[in-house]
Parts: sequence; structure tokens; C-alpha cells
Amino acid sequence: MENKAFTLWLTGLPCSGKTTLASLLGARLRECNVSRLEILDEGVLRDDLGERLESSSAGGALSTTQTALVANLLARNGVAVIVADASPSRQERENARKIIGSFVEVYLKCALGVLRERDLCGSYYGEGGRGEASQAGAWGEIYEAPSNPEILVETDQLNPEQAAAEILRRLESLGLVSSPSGYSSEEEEMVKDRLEKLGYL
Amino acid sequence: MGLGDIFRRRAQGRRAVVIGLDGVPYTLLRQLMAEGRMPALAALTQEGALEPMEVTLPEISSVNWSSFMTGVNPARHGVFGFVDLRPSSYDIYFPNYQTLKSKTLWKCLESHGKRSVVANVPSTYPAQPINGVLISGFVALDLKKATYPSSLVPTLEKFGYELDADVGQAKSSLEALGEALQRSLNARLEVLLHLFKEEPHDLFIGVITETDRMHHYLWEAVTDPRHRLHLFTREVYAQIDRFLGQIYEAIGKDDLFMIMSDHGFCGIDREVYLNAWLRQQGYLAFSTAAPKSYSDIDARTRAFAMDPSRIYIHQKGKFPGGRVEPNGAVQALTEELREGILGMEVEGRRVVEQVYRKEEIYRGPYLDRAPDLVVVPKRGYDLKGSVQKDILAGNSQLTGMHTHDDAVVYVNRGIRRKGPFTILDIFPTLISGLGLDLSETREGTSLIET
Repeated sequence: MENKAFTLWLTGLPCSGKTTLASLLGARLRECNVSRLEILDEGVLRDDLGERLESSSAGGALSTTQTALVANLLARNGVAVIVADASPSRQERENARKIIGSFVEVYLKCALGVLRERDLCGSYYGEGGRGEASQAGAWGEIYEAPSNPEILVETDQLNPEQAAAEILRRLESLGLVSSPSGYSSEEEEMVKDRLEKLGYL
Repeated sequence: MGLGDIFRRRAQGRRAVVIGLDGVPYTLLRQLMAEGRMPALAALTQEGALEPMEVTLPEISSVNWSSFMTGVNPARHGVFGFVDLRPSSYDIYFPNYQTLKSKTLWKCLESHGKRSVVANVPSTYPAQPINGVLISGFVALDLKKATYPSSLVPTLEKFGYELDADVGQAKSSLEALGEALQRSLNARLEVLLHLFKEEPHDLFIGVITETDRMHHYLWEAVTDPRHRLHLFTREVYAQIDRFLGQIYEAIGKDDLFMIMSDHGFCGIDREVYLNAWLRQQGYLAFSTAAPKSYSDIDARTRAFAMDPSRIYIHQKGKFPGGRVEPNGAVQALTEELREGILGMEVEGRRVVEQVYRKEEIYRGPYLDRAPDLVVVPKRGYDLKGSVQKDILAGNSQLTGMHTHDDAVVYVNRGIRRKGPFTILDIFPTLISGLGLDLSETREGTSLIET
């Protein structure tokens, strides 16, 4: 079964699990026959493209709009894209939605206490952290949580595998990916019936 | 069309032909030859070797046809049953051709310019493009999605081709089932012969599944000469024998010809419901009095079973409600269960032959998805993974069950080594029969090379 190209935009505070989930989802989506797939991770983009972008973008990172343009380029060539980007501005994410045709916003919600625990080096929430993100309060002020995301997962309640499974279930119900075995839900019922007749269920 | 025309349809060089007989035991073929019901096969045994073969566990078609077509064990091809659970979930899915993790034989041959005709091999649905023809087998649902190239669909329809026999007829009567099996078999054999003659090929694989269906429902008729459908079962095998003779007559003297099955068969005394046993022993609990699916598994659960004989430890981090800590606790529980299951009794009789830890029978990158234990029953005790049964044992309309041994393999030349032979040996045998040397790692050993 053919899968459609779409962009899965993972947004959430630092340490909410964007990079981990992007990688896991990539593997799971390939099992669902999504063979043409790219992951745009803000950390990787910053490391790979940072120097070139330093003159044009604050901190050497792609802006939300720039990332959306790249995602759209890929998507219109039939490539599914997973974006892992804090993208704190609600307005900018809405712009990204307009740029990209098939846009699925995934909000990774996580309690501040858990975020702090995950931030082992204190880069984002510790006293000795870098820049304006060094204070927990700073991120709390900057980050605007999505008001109506297509998918919301609480990453402080689920382990990464469970969160990935939940996102995949939602993508299936949105009709963007087929189940790993490629059967529609109607076909799955037919398979069940056939297996039951031979005593396999 | 004469034999000359058939030979003109051949691709260049040596070719390999495999006829799969789903669920046919070695011992039954020997018996049928002794009865004089399969003279063509008897003649074939004068030119080659017919031997018993073991198959991969669990001994069901989806697992073993996947092993056949990839040449690797389930921890490498990724299929452990007809049904599996999605990662970190109790939702089931049906592993099939799209989820296969290892390259098939015919895909390996493509890089050598070889053309394949692959018809009715289970677990090849939905059909994907190959260099040649592919018609999917069980569990194929839609003829259009099961056929590559799609231009063949009208031909299949003209023959009245059925993707599977309508075993639902068994509900009305065994005679009605027999008629459904006969109709399906007639069209199957006609289509296989048609493809064999009309489609050029270096590799031809044609599978007959009506044998498996017949054995599931009519095993008593197969084994009991007094059964009213006994003669019907003999006529089915006589028809298959004539088909084998026709195919063999048309191949060249250097061609490799193989016959194989994906498991053996025997009669059922009792179906044994593993989840009922796990509940009785306190390993499994459901959140409802009448569980319907794996989603009803309660967090108190320490182990559960999936069809037919797979036991999973309810491990923390692996399943949403898992409670058994990884490593030490899992190992201890695995050993405890192994001992317990080995001692399982139904009506005062031991029902389990062996229990394997996954590390003993599987090896590969998908080992973490394998069941922690796989149970091999004694003959006559058909293990089931239903979550709905609350009694330990019972019976259904099915009278035949699979066995992991007593499958069959035939090759039309001398076998150059001693057994035991396994289904994983077929892949390298076909490769060497075609005169190729593939670089991909496979696990079996060719039957025809020293």
C-alpha cells in the first residue's frame, strides 16, 4: 500500500524527547513501508549547517520558516519528513503549516521536573546553563504550547517506544500510513476471519 | 502445446523448479506411494532422494514459508507467527510480505538477471514487482493486489483461480468442503501448469495449499480407510501426482527439481490452550472476566501466550503494563515457566515435548522481538494462544495439527550429505542448482554439494 508524503513536526521544550522519538519513528515508519524518509533534527542541522548560517540566522540554527521550506522541498518530492525542532513560536509553526501541505503537529508534553532530570548537563534548565535558555523560567516564557496539535503525547508518562507507538496509531487513523502489514482495517478483519477458520486465533 | 513448445519457453541455462505441498508429511507420501496412489512420485524417487525434513519453530506456514523464501531464521526475517504485537503495545498486526526483513530468493536472483515465476507462496501478499511473475498466497485477499504483473489478472479469472479454498464450507458439511477444495485445486493446478508453460523462467515456484486445508479438516479421512471421504483424499493426491509427473516431464535433464512441504501433520487428540494454563497457574490475569484481546491483559500479568506456542514474559519497558524487571527476573521467570510447561498435563498425560528459550533456536537482529519461549507439543496436542478460552483443553472442528518434523523434501539428484535436513537448506540448494554463488549470508547447507 502506498503511503502519502507528510511532515511530522515534533515540537516541545528541550529534553522533551524530540530527537529520540524522531529516530524511533524513523525506524517504525520504514517498517510501515515509508521508505523515502528524512529526519530534520535541529541539533544536527545546527551542527552541519551552523557555520554557513551564522551570518544569517541567530545562533547558527535554521529558523522555523527555513526548516519548513526544506521540509516542503522534500515533501513535494514524495519524501516523508520528521522535523525535531523546539520551534517555540506558535505563530511560526502556523506559518510552517501553511508552507507545508500535509503538516502534522506533534506536541511532546513533559513536566518541568522531568525535563530538569533529563537535562543532565544543565544545558537548558540548570543554574550553569548557556545563554538565555539557562533558566527554566526562560524556556517557560519563550515556548508557546500548541493549542490544537494533531497529536499530543505526554513523554513523561510514556517511554519512547510507547510514545512512538501512540504517534503511529494516530498517523494510521489519519490515513497517512498503513499498518506495518499493509492491510486496511477492513482487510484486517478479513485476515482475522481466515486465520480463525484455520484455528490460528 | 507440445513438449517442444514448452522447452522453447525456457529461459537460458539451467533452471530450478520447486513444487510446494503445504502441510504434507513425508510419512504420508511414503504411504501413498506404497498404496500405489502416487506412481509419478514413486518414479521420481528412483532418480532422486525423498527425505524427511525439519522446519523452523513455531511450525506454522507464515514462519516457514518466510524461512523458505529468505533462507534465514525468524530472528532475521522477522516473522514469528501469523499475528504479532506492535512494539510497546497490545495491538496486533499481521506480519506479511511487506514486513519481511530479509531479501527473498527471487530478489537475490534479479541481480543475476534471472527471471522467476512465484505462484501461491504463502506470506507474499500484497504482491510486489519482481523480474517475472508473482501471485501471492495465503493470506491474500484481493486478486488484483495479489497479482504481478496486473495484466495476468484476466487470465487467472478465466481459469476461475481462487486465492484460497473456501474452508468456510466446512460449517455446512465436510462434503461441501471437499467440493470447495476440489474446485480450488483444479484451478490452482491449471494455472500452475499454464504459468509453467507460458512464462519464461529460471526459477519456478508453485505451491499447492489445498493439502494443508484438507489435513486441517479431514485428517481423519486421510488416515482412516473407513471414513466416507477417504477415497476423496486419495483422489486429491492422485491428481497432485499427475501434476508432478507433467511438470517433471517438461524439465530438462540438467534442471533442478524439488518438492517440499512447510511442516508435517498429525491428528489432534486435544487442543491445549496455553493462556488458560498460564491463568490457572497465576502467571496471567485479565482486566475483564471475558477477555477478547491482548488489550485486556492486566498489569498483574507475568507471562502470556500467542498462537500457536509462543510464550512472552510481560517485561517492563517492553509492554505497556509490563511488570517483570529485565535481565535477572526475566531469566528466572523464563526458567520457572520452562519447567512448569514441561510438566503440563491434560487428563493425566504430559502434553509437551520440549520448551526452547529464544536464544536456543533463533539468532539475528530481531531476537528482541522473538517470544521468550517456544513450546513444542507432543503429537496429538495442538497448542493454541487464544485469550478467550478459560478451559485448559478442548476440541474444535479441526482434526489435524502441524508438526515441526516429518515435513518433506525431494531433490532430483543424489543428496550429498547426511541429515537431518531443514527448510533452511532449500535456499542454498536452489542457488547451487542454478549454478550461482550468492554473497548474501544464508543459514542452511546445500543438499547437492559436498
